[in-house]
Amino acid sequence: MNERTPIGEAELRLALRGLRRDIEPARDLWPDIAARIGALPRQGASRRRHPWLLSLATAASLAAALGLAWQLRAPPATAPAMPAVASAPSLVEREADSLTVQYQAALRELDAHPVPANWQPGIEALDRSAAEIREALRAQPDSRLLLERLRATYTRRLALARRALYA
Amino acid sequence: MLLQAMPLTPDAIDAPSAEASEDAALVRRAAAADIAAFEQLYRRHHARMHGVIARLVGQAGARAEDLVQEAFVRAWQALPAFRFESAVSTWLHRLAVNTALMELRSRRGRPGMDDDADALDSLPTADTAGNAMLGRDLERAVATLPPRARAVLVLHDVEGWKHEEIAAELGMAVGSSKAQLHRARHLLRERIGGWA
Amino acid sequence: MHTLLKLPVAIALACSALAPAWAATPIDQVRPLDPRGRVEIDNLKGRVEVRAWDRQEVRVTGSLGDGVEKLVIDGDRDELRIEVKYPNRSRNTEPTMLVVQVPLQAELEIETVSADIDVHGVAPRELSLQSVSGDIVANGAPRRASVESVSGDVNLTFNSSEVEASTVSGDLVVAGRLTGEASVETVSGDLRFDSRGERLRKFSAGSVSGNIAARLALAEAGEIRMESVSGDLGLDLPKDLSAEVSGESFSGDLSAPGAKIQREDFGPGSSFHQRYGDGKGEIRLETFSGDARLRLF
Repeated sequence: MNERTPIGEAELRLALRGLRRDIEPARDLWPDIAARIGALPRQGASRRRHPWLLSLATAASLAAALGLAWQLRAPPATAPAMPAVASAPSLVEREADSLTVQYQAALRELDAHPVPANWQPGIEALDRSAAEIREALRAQPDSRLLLERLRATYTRRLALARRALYA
Repeated sequence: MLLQAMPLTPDAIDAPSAEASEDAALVRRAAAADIAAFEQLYRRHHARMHGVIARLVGQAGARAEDLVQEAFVRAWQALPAFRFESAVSTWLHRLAVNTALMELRSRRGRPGMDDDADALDSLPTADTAGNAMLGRDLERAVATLPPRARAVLVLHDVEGWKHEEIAAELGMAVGSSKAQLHRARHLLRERIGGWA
Repeated sequence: MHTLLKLPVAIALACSALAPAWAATPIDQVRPLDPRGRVEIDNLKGRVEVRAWDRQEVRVTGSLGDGVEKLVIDGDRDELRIEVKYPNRSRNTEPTMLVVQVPLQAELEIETVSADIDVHGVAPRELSLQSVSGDIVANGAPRRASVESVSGDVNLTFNSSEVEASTVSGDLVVAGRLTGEASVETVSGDLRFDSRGERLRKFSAGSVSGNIAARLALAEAGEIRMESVSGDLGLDLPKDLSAEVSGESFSGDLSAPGAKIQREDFGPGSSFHQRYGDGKGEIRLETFSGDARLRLF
C-alpha cells in the first residue's frame, strides 16, 4: 500500500515496544570473554579492587527486586484497618522486613562512599522517614499504604545515594 | 502503511519456572568459579543483553560487542554478591544496561554527546520512506537520537522501565527523565517524518 | 531552608556577595535560538535566573565563580546547552551566578545541585527544574512542568495543565490556574496547593510526615488521591462537589461534611464513605496517624 497516514501515538508506542528483541552479535564473543576472565586476578582480590562494581551490581539487584516486589504482589482488597494481632508477622510485614534487609545491604555498600554535603539533608530526611514508617508498621502491620510508602522511600533513598555517587 | 511487528521476546517471568531454576543452578556454580557453567549463562542470555546494549548505544557493532564482553566480565566478578532477589535474567539485563550507560552517566554534555552524525546521514528522508516498514526506519531513527534522550526512550518505551528506575540508573532526577522522554519522542517523530 | 527570599533582596545579596569578595569573571554572551528552541542549563553552585523576552536569542550574563573550569555554551538554533564546568573533585570553587534571557516559549531544563533557581515569565511546552539543595521559585505558563528539589524549598506559580512537583524535606507551594493533572509529593516538608478555582481531572498528593493543604475544584468524573503517614491532610473543594469520598486512618482524626465516621470495634482504625452530589468523581484520603479533613466552600 502506498497510502500515507499520520502515525498515532499508540502506534508509535507499539512499534517501539516491538523493537525489543534479542540480537545475535556478528561473532561469538565467548572466547574473548573467557580470555578476559582468565586474565583477572583471583576472586578475593578483585572483590576488594572493585567496590563500585559490587555496589552497582547489588543496587541493580535491589532496584529490580524493589520494582518486582511491588509488581508481583496483587493489592489485597481494601479493608478498614485491622487491629494489630500479636501473632505471626503478616504478609505485608514480612515483605517490609525483607525489603528492609535488602535495602540495608545495598545501602551499606553505596554508603561506603562519602556523600557530598548537599545531599545530606535530603538523605537524612529520607532515613528518618523510613524509620517512622517502620515504626508505624509495627502498630499497623497490614497496611498497604505503609508498605508502599516504605518502598517509595527506600527507592528514593537509594536513587539519591546513586545520584550523589555519579555527580 | 506497513507496520513490521518484531516478535516480542517473552519477559522473564519471575515466578519459579524451569528456565529460572536452571539459571539459578548455573549461577551458583559460576559463583563458585565454574567457568563452564558461566559459559552456559552466556549462551542463554547474551543475545538479549546484546539486544538492549545495541539499542542503547545506537547500533550493533564493535562498541556494542565490547560492552557485552564488559558486562559479562563484570557479571563474573559480581556473581558472588548476587542474592537472588530477582531472576537471573533480570539481573543480567540490568547489568547490561548499567554497563552501557556507565559512559553516558559520567560524560554529561561533552562533545560526542550530540546526535550520532553517521546515523543521521543514513536516515531516509520522508520522501524515500514511502513504502518503508516502520520497524526498520524506527530503529535507525532511534539510533540518531542524542545519547541521553535515546537511553531514556529505549529504557522507557522499548524495555518498559519506569521513570524512577531510569532516573536511578542514569543518576538524574525523575523529572529530568520525563523531560528527556518527551524530547526523545518529539525528535523521533520529526525524524521518521511522521508518516509510514 | 524554610524562608523564601524576596527576589530583589536575593539579587542584591547575590551581587554583593559575588562581586568584590572573589575574583569572579563576568559573563556576557548571546546566541540565536528559535522561538520554541530548547535551553538546557547546568550549574552546580550559586544561582540560575531565567527571564523570558521576545527576542529569538538567548543572552547569558552574570559572573563565573572563581575556580570554575569554564562556561560552556554549545549548540544551535534548535537547542542550546549552557553548562558551568567544574574541575573534578573540586571543593574550592566559588558560586556562579547565571542570568539567562530566553525566548518566551523556549523549552527549559535546568539542573543544579546547590544553586537556587529563579524562573520568571516563561511559557514553554515543557519545563523541567531540578535541584538538590537549592531553592526553586518559578512562575509562568508552561504546558507541562516537572519540578523537584530534595532539601530546597519550591514555590511555583503556574498556569498549566500538567504539573509534577516534589521535595523531600523542603516546603512545596504550587499555585496558579491549574487544570488537567497535578501530582505533588513531599516527604517531610509542608505542602500547599491551590488551583485558584480551576478544575482538575486528576490530583494526587503524598507525604510521609509533612502536612498537606490543598484547595482545588474537581472536573467531572475526576479523581483525587491524598496519602500520608503522619502528616495531616486538608482538602477544600467547592460546595457543588459531585464525588464519592472515602477516608481511612489508623489513628488520626477524620472529618468530612455530613459523613459518619466508622470506628473499628476492636482496636484503632476509622473510616468513612460519603457521597456528594451525583457521586461522579472519586476521592480517597488515607493516613496512618495524620488527621484527614474534607471541607466544602
